[in-house]
Amino acid sequence: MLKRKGGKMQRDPRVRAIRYHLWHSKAMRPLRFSRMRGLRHWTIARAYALFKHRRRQALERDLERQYTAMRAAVEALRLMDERGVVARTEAERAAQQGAGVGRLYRIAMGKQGVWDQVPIEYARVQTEFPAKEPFNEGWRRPRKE
Amino acid sequence: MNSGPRSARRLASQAGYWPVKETRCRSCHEPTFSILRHAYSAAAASTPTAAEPQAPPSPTSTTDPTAPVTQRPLPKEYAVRAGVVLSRAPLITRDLHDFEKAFFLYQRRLNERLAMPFTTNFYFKRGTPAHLDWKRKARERLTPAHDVGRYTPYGEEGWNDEVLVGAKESEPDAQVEALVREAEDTKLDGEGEGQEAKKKVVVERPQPRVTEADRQGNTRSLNRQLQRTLYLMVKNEEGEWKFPERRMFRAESLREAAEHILGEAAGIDMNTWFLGNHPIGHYERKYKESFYNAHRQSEELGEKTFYMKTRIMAGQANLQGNKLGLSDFQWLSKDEIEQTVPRWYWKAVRNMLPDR
Repeated sequence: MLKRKGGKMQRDPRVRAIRYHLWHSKAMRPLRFSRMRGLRHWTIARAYALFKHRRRQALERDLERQYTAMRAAVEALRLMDERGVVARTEAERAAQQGAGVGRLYRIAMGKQGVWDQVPIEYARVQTEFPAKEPFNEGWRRPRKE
Repeated sequence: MNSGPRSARRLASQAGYWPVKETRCRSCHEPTFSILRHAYSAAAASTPTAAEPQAPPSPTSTTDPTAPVTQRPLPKEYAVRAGVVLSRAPLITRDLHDFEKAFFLYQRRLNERLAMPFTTNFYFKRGTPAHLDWKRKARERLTPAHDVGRYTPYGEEGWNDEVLVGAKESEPDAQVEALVREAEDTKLDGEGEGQEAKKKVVVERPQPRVTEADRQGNTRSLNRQLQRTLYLMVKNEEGEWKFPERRMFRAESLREAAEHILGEAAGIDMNTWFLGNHPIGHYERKYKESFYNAHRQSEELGEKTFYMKTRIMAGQANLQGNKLGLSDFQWLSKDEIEQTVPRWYWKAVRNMLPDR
C-alpha cells in the first residue's frame, strides 16, 4: 500500500516490518566454529546420537519382551485342552478329541467389540506437570436406585 | 469367495471318490469336516460306556487292598487360572537424563545463534505498555528466548554460548522459575514504580511432580509415582503379594473370568477398560508332587495362569467383602513389584510388564 504524503512515499508499517524481517542484514548468519569447538560439537552430537540409539533399542527390546510373552501365552492357550493338558504325542492327541482343545484360544482371538468404547482418557497426553488432582480416586460407579 | 476347490473336495469325499483324511484346522487342530466330527463324537460317546463297568472312578474307593489294580488311571490336569493386570498409565513425562537436559540447552542456544533477530516492531506497537514491558525484560535477559538463561547471540560474547558444568540454566525447575518470575514481574499499566507496588501479581506455580503420597510412602494411593505405570497387587491368604487371580470356571472365557475377578477382588468402584480378549502373558508351574483332586476326579499336576491387561481410568480398589480372601492391596511400579513378590513369581510375570 502506497500513500503520498508531503511528497514522501510512506509504506504500511506492517509491510515495512515484513521487509525488514526478510532482508535483515543479520539473517542467515553462518555458524562458524573454531577447530576445538568444532571437534567438541561433533563429540556432543555423536554422544547424543548414541544416547538416542540406546534408548530406542531399550524401548524396542521392551516391546519385544511383551510381544513374546503375549505370543507364548496365546500359544499355550491354543494347544491345551480344557483340563490344561497339552498333547505331546499323536496318541494323546487322538485321545483328546472333543475335550475342548483350544476353546479358550478361539474365544480369545475373537475381535468383536474390541474397539468399542475406547475411553476418552486415551486421548490425554502426558504432561510435564500434573493436574491439581492427578488421579480421581473418589470416583464411584453410579448406583441404581 | 474362495471355496471352489474345497467344496469340490468335500463333495468328492462324501461321494466316496476322495480318500477321507483327517483334516484339521491349522490353528486349533480341531477336525474341520463335519463327517469326521460325527465319527469322532460317536467314538467318544461309545468309549466311556464300554470302559465304565470295570473302572471305578476314584482310587480311594477301593475296599480290598489285595485286589489286583485294574483301575483306569486318573485323568491328568492342570489348574487353569486367570489373573488381572490392572494398571494405571503414567500421567506425566519421564524425568530427563542429565545429558539430555544439558544437550537441550546447548541446542537451544545454538538455535539462538542461527535464528533471525526478533522483529519487535512487528509484534509490539511502539510506545504501548506491552512494548515498554517487553523492552525492560529484553534488557534483563538479553535475548527473546525465555529458557536459555542470560545470553545474547548478537553481542560481542555471542560465541560464548556454552554453559559451565553444573550450571542451573539447563534444569527444568530453574526454567520454570524464571518464567514464573518474569510473568509476576509484568507491568502492563505502563506507569511509574509507585503504582504497581500496591498490586502484586501472583502467578500460580505448576504442581510438583513428586506428590504428597510419594513423600509419605503411601503405596495404596494412585496419586504416586506419576511418571511410572502402577499395577494393582494384592495380598492373598498365603500372605503372598500377587496380581488378583483365581481358578477359572468351566464355562468362562478368559475375558469374562478377568472381569469377574476384578469385581470379586477389588469392588465395583473402579472405572476400568480391558485392552483385548487375549492374554498378555502366562506362567506354567508344576507342583513338586501331583495330588488327587477329589472334586474334579483328576490328578492335578500344576497350574497355568493367564493374565489379562486392564487400565484403570478412575476410582480406587476396595477389598471390603472380597471373595478371594485378600487382606491388603498396593499400587506398585515394576521395580517395586520385583522387591515385593516371590522370586519365582517375578520371573514368571516380569516379561509382560513394560519397563516404564
